[in-house]
Amino acid sequence: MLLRRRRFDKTTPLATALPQKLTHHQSSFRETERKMSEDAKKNIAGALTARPNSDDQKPSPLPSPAPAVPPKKVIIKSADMIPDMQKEAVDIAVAAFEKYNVEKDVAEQIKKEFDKRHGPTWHCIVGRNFGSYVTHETNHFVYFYLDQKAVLLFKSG
Amino acid sequence: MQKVSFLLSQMLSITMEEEQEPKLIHGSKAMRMHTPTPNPNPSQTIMRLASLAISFNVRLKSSHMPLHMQEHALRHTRSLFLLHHPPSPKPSNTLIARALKKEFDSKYGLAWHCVIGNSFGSFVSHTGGGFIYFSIDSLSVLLFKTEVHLVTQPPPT
Repeated sequence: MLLRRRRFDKTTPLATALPQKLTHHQSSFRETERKMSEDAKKNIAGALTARPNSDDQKPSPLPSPAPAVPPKKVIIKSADMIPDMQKEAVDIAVAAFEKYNVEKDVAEQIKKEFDKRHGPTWHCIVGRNFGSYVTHETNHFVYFYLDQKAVLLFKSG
Repeated sequence: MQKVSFLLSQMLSITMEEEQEPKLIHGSKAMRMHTPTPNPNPSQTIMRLASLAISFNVRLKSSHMPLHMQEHALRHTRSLFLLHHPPSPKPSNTLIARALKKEFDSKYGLAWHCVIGNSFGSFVSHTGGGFIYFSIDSLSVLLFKTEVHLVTQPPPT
């Protein structure tokens, strides 16, 4: 199984049964280029509350909430979310990255925590290289960078 | 409609239902279980879908979607890639995700979400019959649907 998957994966395959800790997550050579050009975009469905399409928010660095460890660089790329919730998302993400090394586990932790705190249904994408286009509820969307990883979190449904 | 949570990564796909990942060789059994409306010629449709995947160089990793919609997703994604003619720059993952999402929004109702990339993990919830995860060339594509609820109260500030 793992051997066959290698032909499709650009990242190091992981064992399915046992959790493994990766010190470095190998990514494609296009990472830098992709990271600069790709961004999550918002689209408001007709049934959702209307809001202006333009997003003139500038990326603003936030202080790391974990002073004990080397502070992670946080950049809010795009947000339609109240500041308190944004900070909460970053805090939960930082904790998740400390606890897990696999992106899907980080995504799971963040989504479930937000489902619990702010009601269903949230969706979370974590990774180095991806583009996306989603529909989200008003005031429930955030897209930020945590060091090398991008985190997309939004509510829909 | 019942919501099902999927745990995804480019390297690993697991469903919370402890469902075995459908493979092309076993597509007949797995996919038939997911078709809400019985297809008069299921084996014929599945065979066509399998041959499409081969000719498109697509690997279907996980799906929870009627067969005709799966075929539509594969065809449309491949056509988006074929639109690229050198030496024009290759369309970004975001643009492809946008086009695929909007296609499904218009054909099958709101609200669809699409993520495309080389390296990402995710954890999402989707409506029944509205989920597909496949790889095409070197990219992974995640497409899923959530319910849209009419907003009856102003959003919290």
